Amino acid sequence: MAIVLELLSRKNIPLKHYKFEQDYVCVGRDFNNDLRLDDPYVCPSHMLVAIDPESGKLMVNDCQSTNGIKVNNKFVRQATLNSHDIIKIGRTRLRIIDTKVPLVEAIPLSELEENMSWLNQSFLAICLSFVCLGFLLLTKYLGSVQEFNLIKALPSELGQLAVFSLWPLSFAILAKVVKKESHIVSQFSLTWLLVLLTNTLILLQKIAIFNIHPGTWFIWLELLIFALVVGGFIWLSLFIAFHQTNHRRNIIACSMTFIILAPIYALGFLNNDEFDSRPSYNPVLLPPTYNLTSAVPTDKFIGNANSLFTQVDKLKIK
Amino acid sequence: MVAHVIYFVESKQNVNRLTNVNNPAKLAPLILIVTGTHILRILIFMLSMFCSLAHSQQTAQNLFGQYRTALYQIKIIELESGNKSSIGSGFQIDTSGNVVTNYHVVSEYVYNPDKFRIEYLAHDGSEGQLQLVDVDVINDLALVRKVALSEQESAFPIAQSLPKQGSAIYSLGNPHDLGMIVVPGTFNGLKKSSFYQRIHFTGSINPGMSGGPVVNELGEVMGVNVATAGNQIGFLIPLAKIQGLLTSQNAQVLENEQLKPRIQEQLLDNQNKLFALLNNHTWPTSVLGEAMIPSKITDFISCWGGSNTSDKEALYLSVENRCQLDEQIYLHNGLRTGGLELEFEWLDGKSLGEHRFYNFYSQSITGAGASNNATKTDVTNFRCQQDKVTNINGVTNKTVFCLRAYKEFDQLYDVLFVAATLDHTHQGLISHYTLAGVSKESALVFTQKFMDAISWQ
Repeated sequence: MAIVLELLSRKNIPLKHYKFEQDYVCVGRDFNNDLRLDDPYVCPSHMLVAIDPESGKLMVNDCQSTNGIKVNNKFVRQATLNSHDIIKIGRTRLRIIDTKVPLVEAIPLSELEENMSWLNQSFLAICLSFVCLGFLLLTKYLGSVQEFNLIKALPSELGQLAVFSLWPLSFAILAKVVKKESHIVSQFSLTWLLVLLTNTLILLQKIAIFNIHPGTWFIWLELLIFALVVGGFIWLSLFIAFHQTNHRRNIIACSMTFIILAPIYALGFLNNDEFDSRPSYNPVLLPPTYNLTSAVPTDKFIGNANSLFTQVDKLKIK
Repeated sequence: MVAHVIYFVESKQNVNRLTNVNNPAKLAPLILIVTGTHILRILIFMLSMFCSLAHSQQTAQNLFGQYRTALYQIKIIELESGNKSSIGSGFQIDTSGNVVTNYHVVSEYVYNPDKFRIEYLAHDGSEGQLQLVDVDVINDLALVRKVALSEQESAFPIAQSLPKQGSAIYSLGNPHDLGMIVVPGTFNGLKKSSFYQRIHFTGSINPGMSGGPVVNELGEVMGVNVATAGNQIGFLIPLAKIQGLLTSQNAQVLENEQLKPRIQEQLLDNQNKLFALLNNHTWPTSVLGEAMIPSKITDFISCWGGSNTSDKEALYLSVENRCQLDEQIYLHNGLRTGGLELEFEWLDGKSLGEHRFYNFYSQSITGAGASNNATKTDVTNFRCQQDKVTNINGVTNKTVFCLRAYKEFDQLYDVLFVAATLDHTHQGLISHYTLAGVSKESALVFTQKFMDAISWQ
C-alpha cells in the first residue's frame, strides 16, 4: 500500500510527486521526516498522513503544529480525505493521492493529429511564406496603375506578413505558457495556407459575381463560407496548440468565431439602407478569359428594369 | 450686407458713363452731322456726350419715378420665429394685385405652407400679406396676390415683344432697405441652343433682386431676374414665359395640398417634352477611341472633352467626352432636378497588361454618384440592376442601371447608368449618364436608345 503526495504550485499545478511504500508519512521541516518541506511556516513535525486500517481511507493528523492544517481552506485537526482534496500547511500546498482510485482512461490518439504532422516541416512553412509574399506582391502589382517598383512595394507587403504572423506567434506562446510544445512551424504553415485559401476564395467570388450577378442569397453564402473558414482556422489552431477534449475545443472555436463575426454582421445590419447619394453596385470587371456566361440582349435588360421601378416605389412607402 | 450696399451705390454712379459709351445708336446721327473743322467735331462730340448723358439719366429717373410703387420686396416669414428667412423682389402686373416673382423666392413656402407666410414690403415701407396663386417651377416663376388692395394700385406694363439685340435694358430689384435698385445692361438676345430659354444679361444681378422685372427703355417688362446661387452670370427669364403665367391671372388661390401636385404636373409635362425631343430622332454619333458614341445627341446640350495625353508618365490613354444640359430646375433648398449628363471615357492600357488593365478599369467605374444633391427627405435610396448586355451592334457591356424615386412626386425618378465594354483585353469604353426627374417611360426609352447607340468602328 503506497501513499503518493503531490506538491502543488499556487495555481494547483503539480510540481513534483513523492511515492512512499509505507502506511504512514510524516511531513514537516525536520530532516527526520519522510517528506521534508523547506517552508518557514511549517513546524519541524507538522502533519502525519496515514491509512486508516479499518476503512482503508487516507487521513491527515495535525501534530500540534503552530499554523495548523487546512483541508480545502478549512482548519482541521484530523480529517479523512477524499480524492482531489487540497491540503495547505504553512505556505505549501499538497495533494494526497489514493492509489486505489482508478484513473481516467487515456484520450485516444486522433488520426487527425497524425495527419497534421506534415504541417510541421520548416521547409514547407518557409516555402509557403514565400508563396504568400509572392501572392501579395502580385496582387499589389495588378492593382497598380503607375510604374511598379518592387523595392518600394516590398516593405508594406512584408509588414502585412508580419501582421499575419501575430496569430501563429500568439498561439505558439500560449502553448508554451501552458507547458506544451509550441508547434510554431505548424501554426505558421496553417496561417499561410489560410491566407492563400482566402485569396483564392476572393478570386472565385469575383468570378461568380461577374458572371452570374447573383441576388442577396449570395451575400448569405459569402457570410456562411467566411464563418466556416474562420471557425475552421481557429479550431485547427487550437488543435495544434493545446491538448483539449473535442467538446471544449468546439466551444472555444465557436465562441471565438462568434466574437469575430458578430461585429461584422451587426455593422452590416445597422448600415442597412442608410441614405446614400451613391448607389451600391458591384464594379468588378474581368478580362474576356473569365467571361464564362452569355450576355442578355438590350430589350431583355430593359424588360427586367420594369420591376426595379416597382421596387423603388415600395421604398417610398417605408 | 454692407458690401452689397456699397456695391450698388457704386454701380449706380457708373450707370451714366456705361450707357453713354455703349450707346452707339444714339451717337450715330449726331456724328453724321459733323462735317466742319476738327474743333467743331470735338465740340459736337462733347455735345452729343452731354445729350446722351441727359437721355439715360432721364430714362433711369423715369423708371424710378414711374414704377417705384409697383415694385416690392418679397419676404418669406417663418412663423415660429416671426422673422424673415429669405427675401427676393417682385413686381405688380395688374391693378387687381397680382405680383410676379421667382419660384425659388417662395419655394420654402411651397414646401412647408404651414410653417411660412409670404409678405411684401413696398417702397413707402408699407407691408402686407401675399397669397400664392400659381407657380411655374420650370421657368422659376411664381404668381402671388396681395390680400388687401390699396386705393391706388400701379402696375408694370408687359412688353409685346423682345427688344432688338444690343438695346439697353434695365434690371430692377428691391433687395435691401434701399428701396428700388436699377442695374443697366444690354439685351444680347436669347441663348440659341437652350432647352429652358434664358436671356443672357451683361449686368450683375444680386441675390435679393431675384424676381424683379427687367424692363426696356419704355419701362415695359420683358423678363424676370434669376440670380440663384450658382449662376455667376445673370440670366433672365424671357417674356414668353411670363405670358404663360399670366393665364392664371384671374385664377383662384392654390390650396396648400394643390401645390405639390401642380409642381409634379409641370415637372412631368416638362420632362415629357424634353425626352420627346431627345428620343424622337436618331442620335448623331462621333468617334471616341475605337468606338462610336452618341455624345452630342441634341443641340441644347453642351459638350466638353479631354484626355491625359499630356501626362507622359501615364501607362494608359484616357479620352473623355462629357455632355450636359446647362440648366436645371430649382425645386427647393439646394435640390435641383431636370438635369441630364452624358459621359464617355475611352481607356487604352496596352502597357498595363490584361489583368492590371481590368483592375484599373474596375476602379474607373467605381463610385458613380447622383448629379443632384437630393437628400433623404427628397428621394429614396438607389436600387440597381446589373447584367452583361449585348446590344444590337454586338457590343457587350457590363451594365449597371440604378434608380431612385422622388418621395414628394409620383412617377418621377433619378436614373444613374454605368456600363463598361468587355470586348477587348486592353481597351474599354465606359459609358455613363444620369437623368434627374424623369418618368419610367422616358427613362426606359432613353436607356434602350442609349445602350443600342454604341458600336465599334
